[in-house]
Formats: sequence, C-alpha cells, structure tokens
Amino acid sequence: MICSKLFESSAPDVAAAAKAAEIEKTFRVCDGLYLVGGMERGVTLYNQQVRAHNLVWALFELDRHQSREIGRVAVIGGGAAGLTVVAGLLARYRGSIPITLFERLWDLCPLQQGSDARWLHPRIYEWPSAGSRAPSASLPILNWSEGRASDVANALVKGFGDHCQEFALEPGSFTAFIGLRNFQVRTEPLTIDWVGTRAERQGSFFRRGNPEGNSAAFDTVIFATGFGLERSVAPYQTSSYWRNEQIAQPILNGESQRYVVSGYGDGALVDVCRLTIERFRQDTIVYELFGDRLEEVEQKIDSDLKRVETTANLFSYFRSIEHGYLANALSELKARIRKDTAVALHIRGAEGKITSFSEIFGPTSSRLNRLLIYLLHRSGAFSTSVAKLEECVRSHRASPDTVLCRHGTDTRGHLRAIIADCDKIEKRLDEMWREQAQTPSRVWRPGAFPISIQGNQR
Amino acid sequence: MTEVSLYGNPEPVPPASQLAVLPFLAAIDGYLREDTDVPDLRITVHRAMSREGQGYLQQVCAYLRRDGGDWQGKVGRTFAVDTGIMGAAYESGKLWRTKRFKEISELTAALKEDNVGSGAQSWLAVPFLGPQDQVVLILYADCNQLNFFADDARVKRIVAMSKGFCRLFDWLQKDPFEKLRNFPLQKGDPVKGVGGVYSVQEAVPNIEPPRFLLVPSFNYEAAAA
Repeated sequence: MICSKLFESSAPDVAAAAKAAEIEKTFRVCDGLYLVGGMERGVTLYNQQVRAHNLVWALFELDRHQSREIGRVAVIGGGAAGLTVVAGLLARYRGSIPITLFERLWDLCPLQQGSDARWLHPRIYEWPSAGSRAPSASLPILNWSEGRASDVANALVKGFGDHCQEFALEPGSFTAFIGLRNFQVRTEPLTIDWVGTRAERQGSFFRRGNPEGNSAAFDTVIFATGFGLERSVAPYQTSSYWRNEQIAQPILNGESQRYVVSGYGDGALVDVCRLTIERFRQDTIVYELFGDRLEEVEQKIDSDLKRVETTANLFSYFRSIEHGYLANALSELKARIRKDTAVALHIRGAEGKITSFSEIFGPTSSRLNRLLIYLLHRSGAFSTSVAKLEECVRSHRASPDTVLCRHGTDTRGHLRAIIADCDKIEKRLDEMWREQAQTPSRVWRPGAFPISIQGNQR
Repeated sequence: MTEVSLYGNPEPVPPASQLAVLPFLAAIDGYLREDTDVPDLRITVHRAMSREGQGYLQQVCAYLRRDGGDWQGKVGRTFAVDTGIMGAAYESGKLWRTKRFKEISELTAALKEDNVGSGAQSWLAVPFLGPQDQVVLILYADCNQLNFFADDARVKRIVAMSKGFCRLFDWLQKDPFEKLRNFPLQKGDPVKGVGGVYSVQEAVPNIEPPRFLLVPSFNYEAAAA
C-alpha cells in the first residue's frame, strides 16, 4: 500500500492516538460512516471547516497508528466542509488514497457562489470571546477571510483546485461527480449507487465531463452535506438564506414596506437586523455601536458570560447591563432604525412553545445576534408575535411575498432521502443530537497539515 | 506545561502581520550591510501565539536575505516555546546571542560538545516585551561571519531601531487604522519541547530589550471593507 510509506518515518505517539480515537468517535455514525456537523447546533461555515480538519486529523492519526485503515474514501457534499475534508485528506495523504467527492448540484460551494448579499465572518458568532473579531479564519486547509459569501466561496473553490493541482498527483487519487441524478447510500455493506456527471479539473477549477453511473463499496464514507435544505412553509415562498435579495436596501418608491420574519435562529435574527438597521453590516456593527469602549465592553460581557452556562437565557443579563455597558450602544442604534420598514418578528416556533419574547434568548442563536435583537427591541424597531403564522401575517397586514420564514433545515429528512437503510442509524443520530459532542475547537496540533504552495503565506 | 512533539507544517499568519514586520527587517538588513556584505545574513521575526489555550512561538514572516525572502515552508512554522535561542529569549525575557570565539574551530568544537548542528557562525535573538513583561515578538538573525553579533555596539543599534518599532506600534494600538488592526491573541499555556540553551550562547544582560507599552500580542489583520 502506497500510504504506508507516509508512516515509515513517523514515531508512534500515544497521546495523539488516544485523542484521535476520542475525536473519531464523535463523528462516527456506524462503522465507516461519518457525519460532519449535521446533528450539531453550532452552524457556521467556519465551525464546519474546523470539524472537517478535526476529522481528517483523527482519521489520519488512527491510520498512522494502525488502529483503523482509511482505505477508499467517499465524501458527500461539495460545500465548505466537504471540500475541506477532501483537501485535508489530499494534503495529508499526498494523493496516495482514492477519494471520490459527490455533489448533488452542478458546482462546488453552490449555496454561497454568487451570494453577494450575505456576509461571512469566521468567528463573529463567538463574540465577545477574545479574537472573535479577527477577519481571518487562520485555517491551514482552505483558509479565507471575512467577506461577501460569494468572495468566500471563490476563495474556497480556488483553494480547493490549488490543493488538487498540488496533491492529487497519483492517478485515480481524486474523482468528483456533480449534478447527481440518482444517489443512494447503504450502511451495510457500505456502498454508494449513483448517476452523475464526472467533473474534470482544468487548472484551479472544474468543468463538466461525461455522465456516468456506478455502484461501489467504500471503506470510509464522510457525510459533509451541511444541514440540508431549509424548511419551506406554504404558502410563503421564502428564498434560501443564501439567495440574493434586496431587503437590506432602502425602498425606492418612497413607501414603507411591512415584513414578517418568522423564526428566532441566527438566519431570522440577521434578517431582522437587515430590515431594521440602516447601513447594517455584520462586520462593522460592534465597532459602530461601542466605539472606543468596544474592548472594555467585550471583556466585561465575556467575563460575565464565562460564569454562566452556555445554554443560559441572556435576556435578564442584557437587562442588567442595559443602563451601564449597553447605554451608548442603545442610543447609537436608536439613531439608525430604518424608517421605511415595519417588521414583525414571529417567534412562536415550530411546536408553538414560545409564549414571550424573553424566551428566545437561549442558545438557539449567537450571543451577538441576541444582543442586537435585545437592543433593537428596546429601540422599538420591531414588534413580536407568538400567534399562528397566518394570524401574525394578517394582523401585521404583510403580503405573502414579504414573509420570510427562517425555520432552519431538515437535516434528518435530508439524510433519510439519501441513506436507503437510514432506520438502522436513527438511534445514533438521536444520540449525536443529544450529545453535541463534535467540538468546534481545533484539536489538531499546529503543523499537522501540509499547506499548498499557493497558500504558502504569500 | 504541556509536553508534545510538534509537527512541521506551517499554520497561517495574516499577510498584514507579515507586512507589518518586513519593512522593519529590511531596514535592519540595510543597516547591518552598511559597511560590507555579511555572508548568509538572514533575519526574521517570531511571535508568541496561542491556539485553543496553548502557547507556541510562530515565525511571522520569511527569512529576509540579500536576495529577497525565503518563504516556502518557513512562514507560520510553530515551535515549542523553549526551542533554541528563541526559547532562551522567550523564557528569560533577555537578549541572547552566540558567545565570542577566537576562531571558527572553537565554535565548531563547542557545538559538537552541545550535540547541536548549526549552519551559521553567529546568531542573535531579541525579545520584544509587552506591558506585562510577556514576550510579544522575537527578532532572530544569523549569518556566517564569526562574532558578528558579539559586537555590543551593533546589537545596541539593532535594539535602538527595535525601540522605534515598539513606539510606532504603541501609537497604532491607541489610534489604529480603521481597517487594519491588531486583533488580540489569547494568552496560552506554554507548550514545551526539548529545550535548547547551549553553551555557545549567552544572555546579554547589559542591553535592555525593547518594550511595547500597549501591545499585548501581535496579530495585525486587514478587514475587508
């Protein structure tokens, strides 16, 4: 086996092997099948990339220590996590294992490509932790810096192509299928049936090759399908979070527009910010609200929040600092409330459990978005509703095309559609959801990943 | 202290951080070559960085040489905090350099005694301290001219230039560019390796290291817009 050459000169490292075994377990659905982030609550592109690094590091270490041979690999999903897994494996194994990537759509990173209206920042959702404002992801594999989602997608796809160019040199070391028309995974034995189109690399990018169908067994299958498609709520035709729209732009006909935003996760809260704050930008808002006192406020909130559970509801905490640390921010924000929109935030939730505004300040969204929503509410920037959605829309006098449903994704449904014998793994998926064990922190040791020449720090 | 053997690949360093130190190194390079060329002189800077609570030293930029920069595989390398002469500078907060030797054979014999190899004949590490006496940066230089850095006057001049560098970045810390900032790095638990205080090296207690009054860590990054 070619890859064994990679390990000839490496000394056994008991601590690394033990850590790798611990990490691998958090991703394992069943023998040979791994899921990156799908059942986790920390839903950011950066977190998914970190998990991808962690899994690749763990699988490599287990292979190196002869605990588990990685063998023939399939990676499902050509988004940020899937590309990071493939690029990491290519770099680590230097093309000495066969890897096949499957992407349902016609291009890599399809959700974020061309998405000019959404801003991506690697760690702003960790705010106010130290370093959370830093623009760079600082990742050894497929690194990027904050920017429009379209810019980040460009950086990832180009970086991926560069990785392939440098590391996928062995014939058959990397194959990609896009535009899948048929795709089915079985867990026992671990096999994939597919009909898709082969993607052929040309320089840093891929072009459409020939259609092809096949069935093959794999030793390692990594689901990096993200979180699946967003749930739609009839009769409202809400576009995907990543599609370009104009809600952040002033209305040009001089009228005021009424909106309903349904949901209380980050997607919904960001849309409320865009609809209610003039010139809103996720990357600059904290500087604008806190000015010269930003670091002082960050340190105060960070140290206070370290003393409470990560699952704590922050409503009463924000209230307790409103007249002190938040006073200036509240006054700044009041001066920037949009005059051309009237927004209702519908927070009833899928099961109708929410009965008051203060209940949405639990861990279902980032601390920064919770803070902004708190301040916006205190500024009178939107109203709230716990009624049924249709009732909320009617009473707010919004038209159906200005109702934005941000109800999250149906990951489980997505997996059931792909995995033929999904019933065999349902229990484990429940467990993964309960445990939330896939850390979004970096567990690989610095220097674990060879970086491409193009990414070589210039 | 955590004890690990580190891997050899680089981890990213923001280009803005690299650019922040390279012109300064170029000025030092220019000064050191003022009278005559110095064989194989190269200069770089390391920073104290942390990741997930663990502290390392990391090479911030290329080795600056007469013919440009030696980048590949060098920028972003991480080291245990007690590695070589930099480890000595990190742990003591003092300048370190190679001792004065009468001739090259004496240095070679001493290195053999220490059981270490070196491609250089003279080297220097200058720690830049932070407001709490922590090491923020370490300037490293080496060359193939015996006793080059054993000259106090030369080292004092390098330190004087370094103090100017510190004053500039203190000012920028107080009054940063809007889109170019020093984003703080958390303090980490220092990761130790095999150590490296050799008998050929000495601390330089009579020359005070440069010091930042306001800069706690060095991580300049450019924001997008």
